Amino acid sequence: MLFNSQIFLFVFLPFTLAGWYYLNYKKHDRLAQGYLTGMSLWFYAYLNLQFLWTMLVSCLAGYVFCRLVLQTTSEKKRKAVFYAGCLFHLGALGYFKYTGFFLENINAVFHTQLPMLRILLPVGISFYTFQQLSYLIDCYKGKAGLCSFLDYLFFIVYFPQILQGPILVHEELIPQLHEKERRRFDPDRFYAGISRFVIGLSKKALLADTLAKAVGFGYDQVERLDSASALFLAVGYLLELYFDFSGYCDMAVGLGKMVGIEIPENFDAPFRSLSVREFWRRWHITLGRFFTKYVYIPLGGSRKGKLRTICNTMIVFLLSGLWHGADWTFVFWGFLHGIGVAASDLTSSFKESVRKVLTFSYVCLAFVFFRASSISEGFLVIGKIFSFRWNGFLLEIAKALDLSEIYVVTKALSMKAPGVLSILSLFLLLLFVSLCLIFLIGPGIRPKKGTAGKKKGHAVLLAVLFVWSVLSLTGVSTFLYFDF
Amino acid sequence: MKALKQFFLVSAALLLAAGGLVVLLDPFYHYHGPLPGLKAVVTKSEYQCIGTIRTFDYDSVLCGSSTAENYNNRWFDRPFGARTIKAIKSSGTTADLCYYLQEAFDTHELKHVFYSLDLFALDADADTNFVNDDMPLYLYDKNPVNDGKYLWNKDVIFKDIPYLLAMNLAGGYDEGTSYNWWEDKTFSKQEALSHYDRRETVSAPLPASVYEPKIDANLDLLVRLITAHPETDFSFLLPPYSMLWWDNAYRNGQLQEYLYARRRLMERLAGYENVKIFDFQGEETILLNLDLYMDPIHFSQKINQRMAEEAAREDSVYLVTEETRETFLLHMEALTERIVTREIKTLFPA
Repeated sequence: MLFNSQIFLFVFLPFTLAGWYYLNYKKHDRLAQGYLTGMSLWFYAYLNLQFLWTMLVSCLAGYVFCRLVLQTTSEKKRKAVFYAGCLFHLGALGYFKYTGFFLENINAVFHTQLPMLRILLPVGISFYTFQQLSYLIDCYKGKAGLCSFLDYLFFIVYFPQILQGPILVHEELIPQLHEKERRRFDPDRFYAGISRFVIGLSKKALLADTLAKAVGFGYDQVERLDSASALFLAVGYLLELYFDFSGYCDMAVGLGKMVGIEIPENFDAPFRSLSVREFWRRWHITLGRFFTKYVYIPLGGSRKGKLRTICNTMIVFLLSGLWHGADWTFVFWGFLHGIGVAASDLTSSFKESVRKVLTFSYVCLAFVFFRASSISEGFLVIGKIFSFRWNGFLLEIAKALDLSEIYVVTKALSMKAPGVLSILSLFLLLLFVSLCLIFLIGPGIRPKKGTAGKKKGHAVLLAVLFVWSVLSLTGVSTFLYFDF
Repeated sequence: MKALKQFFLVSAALLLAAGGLVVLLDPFYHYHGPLPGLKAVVTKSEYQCIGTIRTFDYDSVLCGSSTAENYNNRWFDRPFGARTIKAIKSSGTTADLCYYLQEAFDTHELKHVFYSLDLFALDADADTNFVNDDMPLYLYDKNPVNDGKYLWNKDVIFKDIPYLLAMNLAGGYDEGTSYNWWEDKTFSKQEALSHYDRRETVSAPLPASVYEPKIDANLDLLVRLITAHPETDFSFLLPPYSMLWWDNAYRNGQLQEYLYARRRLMERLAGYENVKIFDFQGEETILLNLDLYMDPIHFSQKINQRMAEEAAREDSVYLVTEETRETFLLHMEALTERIVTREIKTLFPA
């Protein structure tokens, strides 16, 4: 189930919250937790029931490994169980996510004809695998104790984070389950949760999805790009991705507040970063934390000299690239970020504003490969940016925004003054992107702690934003059946 | 707590207002026909067709694919004393159109069905219709729970409702022109040729065993409807495709298939008392004149009008009877032979 769907908003969420608070009110703590876990499983299974079984098997096995690691006294056996557990989790991830990629490359390199397997990738597997790995490693290192299976299952399947993270660590979530205070309905916290959720929903439904139409239109016709349109594609896609993913994370954080079992932040104004290194401390924070804690530091971090630090950084970012997707475009994207992080100190003497612009520009260009269908397409887009040519394609991209809210105006113009329509569309596109950039580079709109709902009219504005976002979840498609 | 209450109250009020507006004006006619004083503005077949079939007041259905969209319903209303609506599915197969017709029969008593019968529609899978996940299923199923996708839909509120009102306020909108698309299109030889991507090679004809069962299965669907509703008159109109279309069929190896489809449909449908077939496919003055087309298949509205007029005539020369059936079939076979051996060479000499 998706947060940005009517079934989630009008069926799942009200029933989940009502049941959770009712059972807690009646002091049925374990039952309440079981209910929330059950609803989370429904939330997960709604997309594909088959994925649920894969995930449950993974959780059950993961719990058994943790238990064995904690209960085995012999160090040798503990180590063997630990490695078996890691192998299980990484093997499952590798099988579901990378088999096709692996076979494809074997065939390409060795000119073989190995048959391609059609393996469905379970939703969220990258997230729940890492979360389980982190718990297993912490158990092995003695940083985590044994919890009940219900707590473990809840830690993995808790619905605000199961599909797209944030990647939690056990000490962030499991202790909250035993804090009685959290299970009492707190109107201020609940309102703060709604407020955050609505901001996330509007980022996704009003900004990301609108940008996606224009960006998708451009990426479908890369060969037609000129400098301006290619530049828009690079900036537009990064904005789209940011609003999409950070919007999702805002919704997750908001839901955590509504339930009372809170989850950590995943973004912290990344476009105000002064270097690529700082960018990665502000963008997808929990993934960066995972790689730092479980890969970078065990490899030696920055303690073993400059060359080794660069090496470790590159390993982390190549892995991060591969984690994002089984394709060379993601690996290359990770490589570029690794280079960016390793070279972060080179700009430290520059003025802050220059560093901000340089960081944003570099990240924009690197993310082209995240969206491109191949590395060569990525280079094509970047090449078009620096071709310094104008062919008017940006006007067509601008029209693809197709804002329903101003349909009456655009329809009237298309009949009375079609020439003006292109200019209006371009103006709107530029205005849209400019507002997004101001929004990102500015102080942000996250309310300060405890201020949500205190300002007059806040609730009304929030309701308007909510309804506007709900209306934007469904549209009317054009069915094109033949080529007029 | 006050802010929380305020949020829920305002949200509920706004959602009720938005949903109420959609229910009241109902641009896809999901709940009711047009409000008194408002004309039915019908332009999006995938969204509106099913609603109009279920909620409009009518006694006749004009059914077909894109070649039927340019009819004006009034051309059938006047001579047949009917109230006609269209049941259109672009590139519709027989199963698609039969789905619509079944819905119409389930909700209305029909005097007449005007069925634009495309040959390519007889070649499709007879067991599957278009109602699938790619369609706005919330309009097709009868489950009120998913109606939210219609009630709280940005495009419906900001585009379709203003369009409905604007068309009514502007005046001059002709309800009979539902789904018409001809107005902003060019019909000319140059335009038709520009949309014809002629294959360089000629494929071997498909074996009869491939297409015969499909065609018969599709005709079974039509026969079932015809026999289930003897009180309804069925007029099958066979639209005239251009010589480019026939040339393409020949080069694809499908010419024999389509000629067989013509033969089978005439053999199987013509015998019923409540069925008439009008065959325009062999009309040389139309299919050899590319100025009447915008691409190999789509002809100008004038042709639709002529077909409608002929369908209303008892003595139409296009009416296929037991006696004339073989003449129509042999004429078409000879004409297609002439097209692929002589006529097409005036356009593609090499």
